[in-house]
Amino acid sequence: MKRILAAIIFLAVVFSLCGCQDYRGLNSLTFVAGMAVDADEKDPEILVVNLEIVDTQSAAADSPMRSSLSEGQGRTLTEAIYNMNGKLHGELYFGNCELVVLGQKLAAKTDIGVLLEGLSRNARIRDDLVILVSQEKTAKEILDNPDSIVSFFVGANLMKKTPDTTGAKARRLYELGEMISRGTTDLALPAIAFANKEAGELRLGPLAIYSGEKMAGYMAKADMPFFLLATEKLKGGNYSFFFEDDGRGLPLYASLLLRKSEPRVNVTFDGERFTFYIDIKAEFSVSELSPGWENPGAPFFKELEERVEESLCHSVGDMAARVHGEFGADITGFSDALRNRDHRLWERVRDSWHDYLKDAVIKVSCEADITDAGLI
Amino acid sequence: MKKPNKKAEDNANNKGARTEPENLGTLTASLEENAAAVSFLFKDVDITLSRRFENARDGRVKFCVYYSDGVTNSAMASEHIIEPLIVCEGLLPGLGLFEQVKSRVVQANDVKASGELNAIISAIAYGDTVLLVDGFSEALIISTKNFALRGLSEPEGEKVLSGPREGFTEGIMQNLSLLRRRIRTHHLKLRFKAMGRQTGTTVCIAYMDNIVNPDILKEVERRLSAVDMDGILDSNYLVEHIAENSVLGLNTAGSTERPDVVCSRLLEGRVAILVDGSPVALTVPYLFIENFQSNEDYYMSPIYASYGRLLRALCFVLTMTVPALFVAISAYHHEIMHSSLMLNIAVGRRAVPLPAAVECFALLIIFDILRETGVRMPSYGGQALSIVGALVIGQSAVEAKLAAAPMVIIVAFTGIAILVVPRLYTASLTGRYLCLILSSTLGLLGILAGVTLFLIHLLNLKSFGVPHLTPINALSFQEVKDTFIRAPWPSMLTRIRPLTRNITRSRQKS
Repeated sequence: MKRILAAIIFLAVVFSLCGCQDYRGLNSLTFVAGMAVDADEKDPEILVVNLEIVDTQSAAADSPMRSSLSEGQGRTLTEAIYNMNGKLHGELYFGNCELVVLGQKLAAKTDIGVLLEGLSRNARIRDDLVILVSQEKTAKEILDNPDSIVSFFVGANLMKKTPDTTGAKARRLYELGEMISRGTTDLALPAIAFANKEAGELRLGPLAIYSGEKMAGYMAKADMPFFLLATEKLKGGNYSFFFEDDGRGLPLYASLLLRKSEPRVNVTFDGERFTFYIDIKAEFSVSELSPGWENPGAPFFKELEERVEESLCHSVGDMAARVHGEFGADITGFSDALRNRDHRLWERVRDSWHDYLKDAVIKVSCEADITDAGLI
Repeated sequence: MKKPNKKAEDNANNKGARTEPENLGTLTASLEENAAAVSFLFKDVDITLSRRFENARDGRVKFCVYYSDGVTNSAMASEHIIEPLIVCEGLLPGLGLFEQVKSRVVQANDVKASGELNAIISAIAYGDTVLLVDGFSEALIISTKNFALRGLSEPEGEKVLSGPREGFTEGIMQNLSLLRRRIRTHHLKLRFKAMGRQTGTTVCIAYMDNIVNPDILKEVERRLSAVDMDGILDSNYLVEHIAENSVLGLNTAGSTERPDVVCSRLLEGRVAILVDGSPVALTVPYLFIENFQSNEDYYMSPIYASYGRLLRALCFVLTMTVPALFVAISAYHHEIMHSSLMLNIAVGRRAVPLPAAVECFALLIIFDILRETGVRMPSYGGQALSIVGALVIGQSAVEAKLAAAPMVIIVAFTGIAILVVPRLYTASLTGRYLCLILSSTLGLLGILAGVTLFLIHLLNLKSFGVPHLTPINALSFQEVKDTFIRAPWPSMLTRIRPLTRNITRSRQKS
């Protein structure tokens, strides 16, 4: 009797968690691969949401899958999505939605927190989707390619699996949510644009920099490698250095492959002004040198390391100053460093953090180690 | 003709109405009465032959022999029994005649005296020659068995790439000779037992008296003694009587047609049960891990053997859970799948009218029908069947949009994987359908429930008092060496503890 009772209770509990009432056949679902969110041209308060729908009905075995866009409008994301339900023949399924593209007008006018709220609270949307900002006029243009599934292409080809200097790390919904919840003041999201609009070729653009909740602009392309060096643990990439001939007999240029790098950010406060420290440790191998250096010795590399360190410190410092000065954004992680180091101080300066940022001093130190001369 | 003795007649007339074994009574001192009684009992049995004769020197010395044609070596009966009795000189009626015939005249290696009609009838039916001597209430039972038995061959279901290729046959003595040839010690005990009220089948209990756990042996004997049925035609008749019952179809008694396997299990402390007329020997207790072991494991490299065992265990898990997992994921938990896999499956299923669970059940049943047909049909039709099965049921069903290609792949894989562990066929089937039913209604939680139920059942199951999961339930370093892996022979020093109290298998040389 006890066993039967236990079995009944067990089945009742399990049935309340998941049962045949939850059955959803694959052929009754409409698969959403990605989402483009724009602000309405006439009324910026209205969100225009385009869902990239996978066309499973007409897919053939020997041809790539196609997609179509379905548009809905509303004052919130949920409203916009529900407003398009009537146009679709199946239940919308967001389990495979891998990408959300934000239109740049929307990004500049609408708080990112509001958009993230709409995405992360929705249980049907998975929290590891990637969020990008469109550099084109609208986000819809990015996904508007019926011959392929753009969202899957971006996820599989453009998002970096190993961090290097060729592109910014993809920011996923849960990461952004976590950053906002822990009090990170400013965000940087990768941008996407057409490399060739007629051919539908896409490329990752520079970072879209948020100052507070709204997008403030894009990072200069030349600053990207140095921003990544200052903020990410990298495992690949290239840095080319061009030196002036100072008569010391060093090469005029050197291309170095980054093997690995690790930044460390620190903050000190003297009561009035913050000093930010960026310490970078990087390991390089020589890829290319200007002619005349077939068999250089150890002193040569010592000299080269010093010049590389000097150059990197200069470039990273310039980049940080530009970002802080131009956009008033703290995307190099100084606020995180302060919060981790001195939480009370952070709570005290939090509200006027951007004011402190303007007056802050940035000091960069770099330790470059050339471990491979590229010679046998 | 004189009537047989009253008791024998009564017993013969009431044959079939009794549940107790028949007691046909005993012989009398009259050859006429005894011959009449035996002839009466073998009335309408045309293969039972008799011959009455006298000693050529003294006509007062009368004999009668009974034997069954076809199971008796008739040349031996005539040359070594009848002829010596006819031509022998010095045979005189009187008290010493019976002993004189037994010790000096009959030329056979196995001669027993018995006055019990039951024993005499059984002996005649089993190929022995029974000699009745006038004036004596006992008969001589002379071994002259000569059955038509098939030759030794490799068992079809237990073929090996390397190792012995002999298999048991239907003759119990031949089977025992195969054991005896391998284990040449007096510690190998072979005890006979007649079972089956009508068949009187010879059942042999074999064990190593210096290794076997006496408690287990006692339990085996107790359970065998409790069996009361009219006929034992195969060892499986006994399995269902003596072994623990598993609702999921897990074996609690091992079966094999290979003498090398029986010997190895005897050497581990198990008890073997051989049944006359069956090439399948039983070994008990049977542990769960034995389902994944093969005799070939011990004849090949330990690395290869270990890999094979792990593969078998994996296949058992997969064959039970893969259809259920597929249904649960494709019907309830789509989020688990990678996008491209998910969409490929969705494209395959877009026009299939049946829900995934129903489709899976239907295909599994069709696969089992094909398999059953393949087993039952003549071997020359097998190729045609596989073509029909593969093409019609598979490809055509997909083209006609009656089934999705991924589901056909899942079912085909499941069907192949189950063949890797043939001893767990029933358990795999029941486990698979249990998990499938639960996953169809409860999703992944259902599978979890199914697997949990399976494990609970497994943990509670015993084989002749030994936990079925031994030695996995209480791992020790030595015992783990012959579980899902097979260590090299020099490092397998001990036997499994609950099976024996003599655990030393081999000793390490210093």
